[in-house]
Amino acid sequence: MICKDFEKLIHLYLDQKLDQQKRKELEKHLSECQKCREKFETLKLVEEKTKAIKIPEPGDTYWESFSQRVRERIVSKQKQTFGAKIKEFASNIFVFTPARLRVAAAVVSIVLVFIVGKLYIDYRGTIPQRVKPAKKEISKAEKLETTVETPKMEGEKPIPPPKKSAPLRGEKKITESKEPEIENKKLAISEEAELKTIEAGKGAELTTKKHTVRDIGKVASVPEIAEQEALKSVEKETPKAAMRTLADVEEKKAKPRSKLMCVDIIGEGDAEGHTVTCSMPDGTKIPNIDYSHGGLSTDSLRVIRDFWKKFIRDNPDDPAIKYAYLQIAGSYYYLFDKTKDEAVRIEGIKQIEEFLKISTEEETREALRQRLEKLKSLKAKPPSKVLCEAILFEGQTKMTTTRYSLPDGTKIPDVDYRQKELSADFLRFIIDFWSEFIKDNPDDTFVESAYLQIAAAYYHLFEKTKDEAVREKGIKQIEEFQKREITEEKKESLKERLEDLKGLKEK
Amino acid sequence: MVKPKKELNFAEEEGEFIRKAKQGNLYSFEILVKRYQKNIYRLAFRMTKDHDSADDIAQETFVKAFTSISSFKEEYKFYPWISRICMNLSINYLKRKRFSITESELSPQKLENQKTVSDPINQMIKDELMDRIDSSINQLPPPFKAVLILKVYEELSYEQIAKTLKISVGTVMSRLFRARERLQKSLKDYL
Repeated sequence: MICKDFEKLIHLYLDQKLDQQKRKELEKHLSECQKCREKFETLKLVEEKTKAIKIPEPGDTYWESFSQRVRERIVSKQKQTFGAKIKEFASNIFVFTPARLRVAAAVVSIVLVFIVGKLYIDYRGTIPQRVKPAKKEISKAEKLETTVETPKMEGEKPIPPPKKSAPLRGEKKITESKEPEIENKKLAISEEAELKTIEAGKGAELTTKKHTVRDIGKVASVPEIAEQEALKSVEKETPKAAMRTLADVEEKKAKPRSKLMCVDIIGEGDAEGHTVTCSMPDGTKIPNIDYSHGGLSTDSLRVIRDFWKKFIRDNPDDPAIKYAYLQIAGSYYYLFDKTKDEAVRIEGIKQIEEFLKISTEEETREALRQRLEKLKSLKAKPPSKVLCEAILFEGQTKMTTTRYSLPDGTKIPDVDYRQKELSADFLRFIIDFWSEFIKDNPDDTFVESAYLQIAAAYYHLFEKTKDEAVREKGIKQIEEFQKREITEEKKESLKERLEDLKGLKEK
Repeated sequence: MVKPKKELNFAEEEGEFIRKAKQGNLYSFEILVKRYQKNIYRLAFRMTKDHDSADDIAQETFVKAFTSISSFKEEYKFYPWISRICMNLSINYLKRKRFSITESELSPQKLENQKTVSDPINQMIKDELMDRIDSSINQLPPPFKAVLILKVYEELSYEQIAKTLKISVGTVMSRLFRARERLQKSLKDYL
């Protein structure tokens, strides 16, 4: 036996795990080898001194209240668990998967149909009285409804366009129930129409609530000609049949009512600070959305984007399309800015490039190019600080949402991997993420921390998997990091990790 | 005739409390808490060297024990079970703490302040060598430290440590020997 073998025996001796024979062997060696004897003496002394280390004892008051404090903690935890369950349930509800969004959209649509239907019923309760009177009066009253624009409705609660079928139902009901009263209310309506400021031209500024309700009541817009035709037929037919005809005309009209949507958009964001700077050919004002004010939620930005996409689909020849291009480009830019979702950025770039191909107006093209450049400049590489902080600190807030994503769109879970028992998969993800990070950002100041992250992840991964290959890979990786130029502090940390990992060698 | 109540021994009594605690009886559990609170606190303090953290870990140990007592098998002893919880909590705490120190930008001044905070403990250790050993133990990686503490202060066997920390006996031995070697190395200049 050489000295190295006796070292192990010394430890076993200190732990009283040596049998008689081995003990004698060791004692014999110690009497002959000074180096081993010194080591034995030192270790023995260390052991004795370690045992003798005393710790301060808290006073009696501490012990008397200890169990009480434990009890309080248990009770509070039980309450929290209950609360957390509810919270979890609630948070699950508000996870917007595409399927859930569709269901939510359906529910919202139904509710809106109901609300608008109700408003329509309330309002149209008086319509039949207008339908029957003399030709001139009817035209005037109806024309007022169809042409008066309310482009700016500050302080109004935005009401999205309801389903096309809503007015139909409302009309049917009203026509049937209110028919006998038509004649009696005829005058009242025509008077009301006379009293209103009628501005059939573009950009009429009417902000009374009454008009707002009327606009909403109409929902799907009917071009003036179509409406007039419908009204002509209304004059000839019975009120009931006339309403059906009008509804049919409305139903055929599927184009988005930009005015309402604009109001919708304003409402989604901040009602203040919006200026109406441009208008569409039909006189509808387009709100100049201040995307950068930060008040727009990601959902609102998606609403805006989807609205303008639909607008382009439905109005391919509309000159206002150029605004749509810019609006979509803007919404993509800010959506990415908010979500940091690489998929959004890529989609946005693709979309703007498409617009650039079809757009002819130089001014629009220039604006689109600027947006494209900006979106591209946000780079495919992970914005290091944000991502690192997401991994490092998010978990401490106990949030369960995913807000950050990798260049390929992979979401980074908001967990603090130092605090929780993490799965091997997650630890592998951490290793891969930081390895990629180092590759993509070799000059980033956070690279050194990435070394430590990888080293830590390897350590925990081996502890979890007990996979010798992981350990070896980790050791190799840390040794490789040690060769790079890093600060002494980090070097020391890496050294410790390396030793830890080496010390974890399993049989 | 009233049958005299059978006197329960320590283990039987403990078994009874555990059974009741499993049924949700917090009072029975409190008796167990009182029985082991000092041992658990000391264990946590040995690991953390900080009263506040030790207090927090000790309390959390019992909270965890109560919330998962249904998984406790009655053929085992209660104390090894809760000491395992305590050690796991302590190890996790130390890993976190160590990580946060290396990661955060602690200024030398802040580090100096930290030393001052632990001074009351140091004052208790009159022996300079002991002081040195104590701080060397503190610098051991948490898994090594855990093995050493269980061996030296809890006087557990290799097998018991292995069971407590859910590691193999070989790992226990390796960690213990390495821990000692490290302590010896850190005192090299001193001795």
